Amino acid sequence: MVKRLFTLSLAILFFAITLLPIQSQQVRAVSGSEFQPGRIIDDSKFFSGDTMSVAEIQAFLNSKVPVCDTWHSAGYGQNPPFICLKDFRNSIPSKAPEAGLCNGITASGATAAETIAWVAQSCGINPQVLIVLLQKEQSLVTDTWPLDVQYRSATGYGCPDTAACDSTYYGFFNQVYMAARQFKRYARDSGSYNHTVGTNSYVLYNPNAACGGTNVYIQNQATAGLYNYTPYQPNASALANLYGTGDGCGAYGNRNFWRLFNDWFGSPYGPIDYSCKGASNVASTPTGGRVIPNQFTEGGNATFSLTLPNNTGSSCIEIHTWGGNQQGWVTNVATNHPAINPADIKIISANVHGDSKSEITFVKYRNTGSGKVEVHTWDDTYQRWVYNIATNLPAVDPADGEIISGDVTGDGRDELMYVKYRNTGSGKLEIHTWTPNKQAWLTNIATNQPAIDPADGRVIAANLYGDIRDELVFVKYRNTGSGRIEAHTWTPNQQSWLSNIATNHPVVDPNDIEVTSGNIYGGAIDELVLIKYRNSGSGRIEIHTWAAGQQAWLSNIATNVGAL
Amino acid sequence: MRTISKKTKLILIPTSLLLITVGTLLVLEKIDVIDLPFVGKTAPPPVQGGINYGPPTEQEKKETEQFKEKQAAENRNSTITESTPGQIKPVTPIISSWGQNPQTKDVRVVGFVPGIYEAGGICTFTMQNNAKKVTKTTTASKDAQTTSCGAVTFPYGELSAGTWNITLNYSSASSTGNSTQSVSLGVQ
Repeated sequence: MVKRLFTLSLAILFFAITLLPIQSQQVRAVSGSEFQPGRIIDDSKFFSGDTMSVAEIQAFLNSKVPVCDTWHSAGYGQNPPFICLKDFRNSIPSKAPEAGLCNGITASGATAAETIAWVAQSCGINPQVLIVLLQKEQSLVTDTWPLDVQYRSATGYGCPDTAACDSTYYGFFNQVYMAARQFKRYARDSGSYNHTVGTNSYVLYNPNAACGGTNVYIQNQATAGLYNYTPYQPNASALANLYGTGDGCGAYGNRNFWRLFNDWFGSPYGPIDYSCKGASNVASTPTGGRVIPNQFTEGGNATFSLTLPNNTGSSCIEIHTWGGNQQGWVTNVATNHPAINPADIKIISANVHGDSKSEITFVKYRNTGSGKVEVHTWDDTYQRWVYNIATNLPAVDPADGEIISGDVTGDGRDELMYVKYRNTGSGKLEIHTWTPNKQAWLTNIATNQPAIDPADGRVIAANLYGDIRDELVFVKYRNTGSGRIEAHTWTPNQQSWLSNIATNHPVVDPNDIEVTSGNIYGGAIDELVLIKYRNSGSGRIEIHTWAAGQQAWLSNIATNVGAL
Repeated sequence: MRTISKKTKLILIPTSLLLITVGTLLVLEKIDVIDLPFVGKTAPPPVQGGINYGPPTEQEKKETEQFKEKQAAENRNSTITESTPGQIKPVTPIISSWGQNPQTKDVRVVGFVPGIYEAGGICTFTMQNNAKKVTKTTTASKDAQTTSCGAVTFPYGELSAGTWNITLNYSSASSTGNSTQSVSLGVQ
């Protein structure tokens, strides 16, 4: 009896111990809040055809079906045997190379793993993308008794929502090949398809158009391709229940693609650019610290960030973002860019995606690799670039002009403008507004303001009237008729003034201050903000926010940072 | 028959009870009935080279079965069949992007028709303001899972400055419908 008890106890312990490793195989689940509709996956991940060998793909397929239920009872109109993806074989026909699409394929018998690998290599599509596509469309990767119909429409190519599939594209190889080829067609012939990179595209929540959708700024070709293939984005309910279903307007194709890729192959985003590693500060050169408004979240109030281009502890450009009262930090980030001479650059915030949120953009005026003025926009981590654009403008002397941002067209996103204060062809202060790709000018305006020394005043954009667009405001720091800082607001064509205001603040040394703008209080209009970098009463960087009309202050804050 | 001594019994019985208790607790921990603080929860997954070679999760297995049930219910995997003559399917075309390019001086509009998969239908893009109506047509083609209308451009010369409403109509032998979005554009 005692021996039996002892044997039983050992058996229970053994059972428990053998179960425990299964628990350790859980993978960290992603959260719906991490889904970026404009950036489902990066191009560097998507268009990389050799990430897995045939053996690795086979091992992966094996792992997802430990035991194939070959003799599962008949179901959904099909009798056993059932063939799992890991055991599946098919004949593939030869395919001729097509410029810009796929490099051709030789006829052969092939396993599913070989089919995936060969198509991936031929077309330059990540085999992981194809694996996720097979799961997203037909659950083929994890199915222990897949049906013939799942193979014949394996990637959902030719299968519209709410209607039957087109038999023209039936067959496992046909499906995998046509899908990979189509993603390359979206890239090669991008102008012919619905969703293209760098545009705001209306993306539905559901095949039922009554469910609505939103404009999505498509950040890369891979994301454009996914929306062309399956034109729906997840709504809030589908993201809230990421591993289940949402309400009747939910759609799950692109959500599941993103989720499965994360769960099986890790981040769908490319490697972080740590180009700042091993950088040095620029000797005998100022720090060049500036305060910029930063609209962190969509619809939220703007807060402020302190940008430090040089003389930083990390030897990288640093961005420090304050909490609400500017007494402590929300984030302190050493960016991916080495420290740089602040005389050559400017860091600005701009809503480049039209999503009511600002991105931080790094402008290089001169000493650029391209010989042009360059615009580099960081993502939210400041470790990667969303854009790197060499503009159409040859390198400029920043003593003559600067680049500013503002939504002067009223299209919901900020334009970048080159403001030339002096040495202009017209003898006037000129404002040149770029098209979104910064390769051409939307407008070139010689204003009513004669050319000036930029030390006397600067042009900023601010929505001071509560309409859909920003006005341009010429803020004069010194040499004013009134002896005060003045704010002169232009009409939209910059040929006359909407208002001329002598503020409540006396003229100042322009080396000590900067006037900027932001939607600091979340109202219908922007506030003008006076930043004092030095010679402030408190000995600290001070942020003073004007009330509308610039005759009184909404807030006067001495920050936690000493004068620069 | 060999008997166990009393001393051995005194050792084996408590040891067995202890092992049963520990074993039972570990099993209960595994099936999430209890939560033992000393059992690690963050052991690394079976990831090699960034690839998760772990077995399918319960969630993935459940989704796989649900997929089959859903497909069977919708009969989506069935082959396309010819429409019944005279039976026209209502569709709702979607205008997926619209905008203007002051450099090329034109307005570009793009659209598609979800829910059907066919080529040869006629897409009619219309821009309309109070005084004028301009239309462009394309012949629809098959995309991966939708019917694509492609893109049309309206030169500035055919428009005038002001706000224009944009609509898209689709018509084929088997389907027809109008866009229901409210799309307007301020032409410069």
